[in-house]
Amino acid sequence: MNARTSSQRTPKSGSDAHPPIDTSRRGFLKAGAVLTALTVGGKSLASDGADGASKLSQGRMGVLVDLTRCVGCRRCEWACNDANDNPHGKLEECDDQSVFASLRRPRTDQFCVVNATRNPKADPSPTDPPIFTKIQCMHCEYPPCVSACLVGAMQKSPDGPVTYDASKCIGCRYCMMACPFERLTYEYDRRFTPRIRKCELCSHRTHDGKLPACVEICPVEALQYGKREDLLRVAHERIAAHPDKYVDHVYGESEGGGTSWLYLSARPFEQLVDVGLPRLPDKSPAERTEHIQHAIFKGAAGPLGIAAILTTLHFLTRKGGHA
Amino acid sequence: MIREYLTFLYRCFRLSFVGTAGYYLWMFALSVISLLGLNAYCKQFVLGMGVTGMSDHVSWGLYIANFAFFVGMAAAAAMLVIPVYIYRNRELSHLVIFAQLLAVATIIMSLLFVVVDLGRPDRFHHMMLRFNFPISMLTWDVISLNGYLALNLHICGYLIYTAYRRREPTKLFYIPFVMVAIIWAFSTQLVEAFLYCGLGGRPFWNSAVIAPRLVASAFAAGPSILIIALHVISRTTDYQVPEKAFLTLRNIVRIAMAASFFLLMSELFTEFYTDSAHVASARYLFLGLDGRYGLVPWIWTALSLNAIGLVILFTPASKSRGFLISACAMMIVGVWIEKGMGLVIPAFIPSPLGEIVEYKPTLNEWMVTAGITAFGFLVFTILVRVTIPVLSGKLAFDRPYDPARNEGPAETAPTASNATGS
Repeated sequence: MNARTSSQRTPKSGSDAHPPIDTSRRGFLKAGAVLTALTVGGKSLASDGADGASKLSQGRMGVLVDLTRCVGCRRCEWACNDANDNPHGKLEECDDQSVFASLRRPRTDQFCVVNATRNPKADPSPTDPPIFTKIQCMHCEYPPCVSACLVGAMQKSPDGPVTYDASKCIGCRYCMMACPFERLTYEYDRRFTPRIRKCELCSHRTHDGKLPACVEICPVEALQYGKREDLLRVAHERIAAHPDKYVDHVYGESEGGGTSWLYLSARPFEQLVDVGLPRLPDKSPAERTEHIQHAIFKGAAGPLGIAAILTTLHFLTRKGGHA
Repeated sequence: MIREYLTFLYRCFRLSFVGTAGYYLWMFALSVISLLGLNAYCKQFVLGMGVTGMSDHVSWGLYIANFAFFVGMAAAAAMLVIPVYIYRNRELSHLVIFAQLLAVATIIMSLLFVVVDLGRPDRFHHMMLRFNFPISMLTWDVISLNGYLALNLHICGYLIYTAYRRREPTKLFYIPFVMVAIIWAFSTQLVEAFLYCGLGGRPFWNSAVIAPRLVASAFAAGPSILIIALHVISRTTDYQVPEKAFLTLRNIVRIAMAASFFLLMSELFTEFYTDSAHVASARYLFLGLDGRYGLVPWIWTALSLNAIGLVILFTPASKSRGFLISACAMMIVGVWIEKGMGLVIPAFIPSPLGEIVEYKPTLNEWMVTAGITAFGFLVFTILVRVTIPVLSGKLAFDRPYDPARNEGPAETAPTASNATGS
């Protein structure tokens, strides 16, 4: 070690002295040790896998929607409004078929809607029945909205439904960005206390052992409530039993990482994108993104590590011991 | 010690109310606009967010567009810090403080834009109580922005206060923070880009090139604002900004804008050449879709302004201040449109289910935007107003300062700038 350097150390006196920085070999080794510690520490922090995936219970519930049975009576819409204290008219008003003239989306006062699409043949005859599709929150297995919510207002409960806690929500609407099904609605016109509004699988009813309102009222049993694994089995059995009646695909089995609402259809699902069943990859975006975030940014290891390197370089490359 | 610091703050506070007639006019205009913006926001709070043009389909609009733009401006402070602290470029050393003050003002603006976008701003504290970190990308954004604000406040505050106290700043109290701030600046833009590209349901945002584009356009528009600010400072105060500083900043803007164009070409090629499913939003933005052309004039105006500005900067004409300022102003507007309406809005159109619902900001939204922008300028003006006398040594702890009297150049207080150069 350079003896001259040690004798040049100025003792700390008042606010004018800076701590002496050693550019000798010892200084370099010290810096190296700090850097190594940071890198190792950073790597160990980063090595955690994605822990954002919810712990899903084996017996989690879902709903199977058989689109070949739906007749467009819209009683599910009425029942949903009734169960969720949304405004609704008399049950008979559901018979109004004129609403099918345009495609509808869930609204703040209507969590589920039924849309009709003409049987897309080259020459549709007026007697061809339209295909009716009921859409609502899909209660994904790996919900992007849950991943996006920065205050945890959106939660995936282990037994299936994605719930919304209005008391936590700050109204940033990032969940609406994240939903690939475009099912979330916001009360823009409500002053002071706007909320996100969506289907919550009638958690308040299922906790009492009742069925979700839409499932209970459906007169043709197009909706079936049960354990997701059972519903998948039933769905595939139905397809196997009537291969000419159903397309060999259960929508929601893997779309977007899987959803709790499963659909069977007579027509290819590509034809149902407009009514609300978009094409999605098999992995939820949330799974991928959480893994990346945890790996790179855990404990801000990346940014701080590079900052440490730069600081060290700055102090080491000064000329003549000054900075 | 606390009392001395409070005295310093008090003197700064008083100083911000004193100036030339032009200064009073400027501050008055900004205050009026800020108050009008506040009024518009109160209307929004009381009547509900329906007074904005946002809907279930386009649920982020003008506010988040401005947020994106001003976060980029803040990151641009790094563009000055790097040459000074890593490359020891002495001409720019005293300008770093102005860049960081600009960062402080623009971060404050960004945070305000977020607050006015929230449906429940009264629940802002929920972010502290129930922070869904590290899962939600927005939480990273919160940490990133507030951390950057804290860093810059510390660095500027420390350097300015030590200059006021006429003593040399201790390296250890600011150099490591400066180095962290450099990386942090990039990370603010990165995290913001990941806010967008981390959402699988919006194909327009599902592009790897969003992060580099945000960085490049930020580093074009940020120094541009700084060029204009420094020009105004050199004209209205007795603080001398060397010509070399303008030329160096100009070079930075040139390269950043050229990079931004390169990345834009890259994105356009990827979108349109293969005609994938992603292309619908890009088509809506640049060419219109199904008879809807809402954003087409915006984006082409932006690109033209950027292109003209870039061409001017590459000609010798830009050495003259007039051309330089015009080019910078054009690019600031161009980047504002490109980053705001050209990045945030098209992601919602068409919606995931294929519908086109256009978005048009309401007058109320524009007024809130103008109010926050004016407030940001107000903050920046006050910060600069206070900093210049401190840096030139006139405002110091051991002497009174009467700004009304021109005392002539005082001895320069030892500052980080001098220390860095040695």
